[in-house]
Amino acid sequence: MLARLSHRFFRLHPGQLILATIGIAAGIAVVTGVALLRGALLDSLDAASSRLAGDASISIRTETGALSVQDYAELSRLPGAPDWVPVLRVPVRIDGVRFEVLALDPFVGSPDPRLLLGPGSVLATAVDSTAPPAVVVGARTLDAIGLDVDELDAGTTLELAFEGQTFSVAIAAVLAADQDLDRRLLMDIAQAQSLFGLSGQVSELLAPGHAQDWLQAHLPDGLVWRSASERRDSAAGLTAGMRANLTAMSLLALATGLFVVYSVLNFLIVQRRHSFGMLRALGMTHPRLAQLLIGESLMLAALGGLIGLVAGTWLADRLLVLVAVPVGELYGQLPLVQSAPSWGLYGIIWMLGLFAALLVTVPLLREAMRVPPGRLVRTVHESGLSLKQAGAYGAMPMLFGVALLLAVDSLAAALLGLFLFLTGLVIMIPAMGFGLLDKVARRLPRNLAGRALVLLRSSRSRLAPALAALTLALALAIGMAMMILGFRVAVDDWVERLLRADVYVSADQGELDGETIQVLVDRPAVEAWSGVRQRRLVDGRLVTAYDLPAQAWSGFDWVAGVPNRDAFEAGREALVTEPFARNRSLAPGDRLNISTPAGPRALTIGAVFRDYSSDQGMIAINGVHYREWFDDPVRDSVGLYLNTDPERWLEQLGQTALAEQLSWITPLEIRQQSLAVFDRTFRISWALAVLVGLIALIALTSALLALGLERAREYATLRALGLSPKGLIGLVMLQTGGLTLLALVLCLPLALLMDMVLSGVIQPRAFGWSVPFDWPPLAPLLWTAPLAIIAGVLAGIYPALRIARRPLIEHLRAD
Amino acid sequence: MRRDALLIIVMAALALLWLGLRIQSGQPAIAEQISGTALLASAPESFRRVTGPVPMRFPEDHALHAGYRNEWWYFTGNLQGPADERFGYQFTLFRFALETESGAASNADSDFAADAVWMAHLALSDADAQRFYQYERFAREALDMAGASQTEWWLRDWQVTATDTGWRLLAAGDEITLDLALNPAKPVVLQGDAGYSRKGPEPGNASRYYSLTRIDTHGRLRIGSDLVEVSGLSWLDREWGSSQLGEGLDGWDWFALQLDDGRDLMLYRLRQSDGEASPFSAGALVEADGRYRILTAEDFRLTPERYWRDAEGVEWPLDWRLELHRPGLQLEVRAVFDAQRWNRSVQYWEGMVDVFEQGRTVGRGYLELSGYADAAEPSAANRASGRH
Repeated sequence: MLARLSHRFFRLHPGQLILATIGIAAGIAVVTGVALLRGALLDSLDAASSRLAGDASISIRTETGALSVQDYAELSRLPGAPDWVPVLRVPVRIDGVRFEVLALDPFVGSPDPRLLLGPGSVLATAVDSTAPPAVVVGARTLDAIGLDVDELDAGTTLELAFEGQTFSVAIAAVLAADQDLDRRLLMDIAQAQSLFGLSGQVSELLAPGHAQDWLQAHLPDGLVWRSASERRDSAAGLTAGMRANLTAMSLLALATGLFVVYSVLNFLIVQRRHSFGMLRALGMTHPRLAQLLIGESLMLAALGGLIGLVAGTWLADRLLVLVAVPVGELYGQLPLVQSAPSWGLYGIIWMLGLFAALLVTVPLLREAMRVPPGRLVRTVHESGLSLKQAGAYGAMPMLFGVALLLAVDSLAAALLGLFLFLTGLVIMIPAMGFGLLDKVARRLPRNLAGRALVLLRSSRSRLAPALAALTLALALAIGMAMMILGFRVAVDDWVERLLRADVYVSADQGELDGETIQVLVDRPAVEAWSGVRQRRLVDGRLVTAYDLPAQAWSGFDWVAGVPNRDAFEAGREALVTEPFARNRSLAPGDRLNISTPAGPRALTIGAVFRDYSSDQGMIAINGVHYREWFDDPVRDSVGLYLNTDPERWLEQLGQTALAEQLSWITPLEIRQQSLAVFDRTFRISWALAVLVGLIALIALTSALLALGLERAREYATLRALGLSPKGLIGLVMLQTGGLTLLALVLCLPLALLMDMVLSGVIQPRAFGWSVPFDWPPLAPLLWTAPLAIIAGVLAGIYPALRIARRPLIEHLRAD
Repeated sequence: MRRDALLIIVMAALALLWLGLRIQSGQPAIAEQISGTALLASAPESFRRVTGPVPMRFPEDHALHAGYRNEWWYFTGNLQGPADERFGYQFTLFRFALETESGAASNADSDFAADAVWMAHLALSDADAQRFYQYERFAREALDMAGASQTEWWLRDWQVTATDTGWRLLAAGDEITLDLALNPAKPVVLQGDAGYSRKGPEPGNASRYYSLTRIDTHGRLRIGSDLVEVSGLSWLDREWGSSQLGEGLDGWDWFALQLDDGRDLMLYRLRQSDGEASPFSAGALVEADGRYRILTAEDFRLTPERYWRDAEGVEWPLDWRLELHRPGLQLEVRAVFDAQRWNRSVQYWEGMVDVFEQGRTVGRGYLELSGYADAAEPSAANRASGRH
């Protein structure tokens, strides 16, 4: 009978059913989307290695990077040696997007021979050495390249850019969907060495996990090994900050989603107060009524949850497109082409949805129970918190949150603190909002607008969740936009300050050798020059070797310590970036050990400088010593300080033979490129902020629907007193617009606070860098305010139409 | 109401289906395994073919023969521990030449460029524990990873090296190590017509084939952390050629039996697709003093007596009745235990067998069954072939 009652109700009010389902689905969708996205960023890190040498694979490299083929051959013939999997990794670009050629020997062991053997495999390309070079790609990678499997023919080739040259390869076969090899192009190692001119080297050797004991006993000096978990940890560490921020966003989205669920369920109860009264009169007991409502909530959550899972998966794939490029550029990681869901994850999120629905149903049950048998009333007892009560309830989590933020120095604590702080605010917002409304209403003229707002004031318990959700969402969107824009200014300033030279020159292929540099700088126009060489140490730390003239020295923005240039140039001191110092809790004066092919070196940290180029941070050492220790005489780029106009100098250079092998870039272009990367990186934050805002608007719509029904009699009275249906529509839209305006006013201090916390606490903890204090940019408020009000007014259309269309008499008679 | 309930159920089912498909879409697809028969059945024209007898010389012919599609060095043996524990082993090096035409190769500049690929199989049967250990390796014929000279045959650290009296075999997997001294007790047996072994009607459907049918063996095995001193008899088969198998063959059943009276018997039955034994089936009977007689298909008859069904449902004929017409010999050949099946890149059964005559043990040996897992409907065809 209960099911029949529910069915009859929803059949008569399909709009409510749809709204409730959408509300739940939207919350679940965002949580699903972000959870899958996190996974996609993590899972791909080592999936390819796992496929080749097992989950516990061990990677062997040399201190200096690539491994010689002779090393491999000797290691292979050592008694008891494990089944090595030699891998040559070639970073390539297709149409500017990063991919990786994973060149393998298909004839050596792999836990998954299916990858390498059989028709259409790498084996097939290796066996036929007379055919042109070919790659094997997964269907998903093909998709990421922008090719359609069905349109491939024997003549389809890919153009791979590597070190300034372009190489053409055929597509030998397409593997069925295979996420482990996303963004990877499999190739025979012999063909790859030949094609890219990399004979004599392999990037790494993979060994199965059980070879660990043998490696410990037999691995020759000069070779180092890292276990799968070490590699995974360091790779996961790269994107930890980004993932933590994403998670925080998704939890906020879920919280906002809960408000939607609350207001929708609330609305359902309001609408049926009449029939509950009847049912109670007919003898329905409280437990039966609770059963009915809980059953409905769970049913809605179950269905909405499923829809949310589907939408969230779709969402994750779209978000992945947004993050794939920045993750590739910033962290050198290739994320999955598509997210990789599992029944386990889906199950957990779905259950989370059910639990959340149950959670918000409990307070509503109390209200439903209060309906007395038989009374045909729709009015409800008003029970909002007073400002004092709200202050008391809200202060506790707020204080705790602030304490957590300040006292515990970790990202998780900061995010939890922020969450608690916001929770406290959410409790206080309605009381503050309606307090404000009270004050304003007193001064309002007694016209339609005034009347509309006064009506709002008397429905605070109904509107409180919607107001809180809306305020929170707006504060989040505006605060985050402020943070991003402020950060953008800081990055711009930093780049401008850092780039002191007039033009920067690098080689088209690889690196600049000393001879080329000599030819470049041996000109009267060149006053001074700087050189840069970067190298990743075996332990993953990044070292930058600088040759710096006096002019360049002033490009650093010192965050801590007093740099001593003489000590730096004497090779005694190193400089480290702010993220590096923060990630490792280092300060000026601390010692730093770096392993070099010439043995370990110990340096003192002279000073810490501002740097936004890598959230992993780096160590800066003097170029002279770097070349000595690492036996690496080349440089990645040089900066030229000219006493003439750079344009003219470039013109002169353009006439020399050298020009063909070099490329140059001006500081202005570097700045533009840096900001472009920056903007791409934060696109995902924008996307999530918009999503949260949309969910809040759904909350607003459903709250107003509830209000409209509850106040049906008042509206009917207004109509009877001569208010036209159009006027009534205007009234409702004024109310939604007014509520949005109220939310905007309330959110302003919150947004500023959010900006401060994000810039001052979360950023340093997530990425390691601080952002110099500056006045928050007001642009986000200026964009958001009109947008929010328009959206708010539009959100009133549906409830307004519903209210205006109802027959008058029935509602006038209701009491 | 029922219609609406149905609608909701359909929606939920559609959502679940979509999610299921989405989960599935990232999983690797199953690819095929290599067919052992196909590997030996065809070869491009550019390879050398075996078309008639040529004199063989040793140790020269122990080394690899370039220009042929395939070649192998095939040891099997029955060993015994101090407490009469029984073991069987197999160590095989296979060489598959690749199609390379000089000059045009797209991998010419690479250290990994190779003319051939090697595969090695190492197996140990522990009869008492009924355990079968199997290890497979591949390597290119580059960077000295694999090769065969007159004195050394190797794939990485699995190697057979010539000694004054024979060879030393050293090979290890995770759980086992074989370290065996192999000393031939009889001279080389040239199979077929002075080593020219025909396997089909076409010219080129043939291989060079010689055997050492009785090799005294002693040495040490490691199984897990246990070391066992062992001794026994091994058998070496050497064979090379291109496209040696004729068309219409499903596989073969190969027997290498060492009888207690000092005689050795090799027989292979090539199975046609119609289930009949090919007329090119053959064998050799080696006397205790090393003299031998080549057997043709008419000289013997092999009948499967018992099938073993493996986990994948493939049925393997593991017990056989063997009738040799001249001299009259009625033998029963039975697998020592069933689970001696290879399931790596190539699927076959290769394991230790006992030989009985009228219920009495008269010898030991090795049995190889190939082509059973490749057939579309293995059991039906095999059973039919066993009843001719």
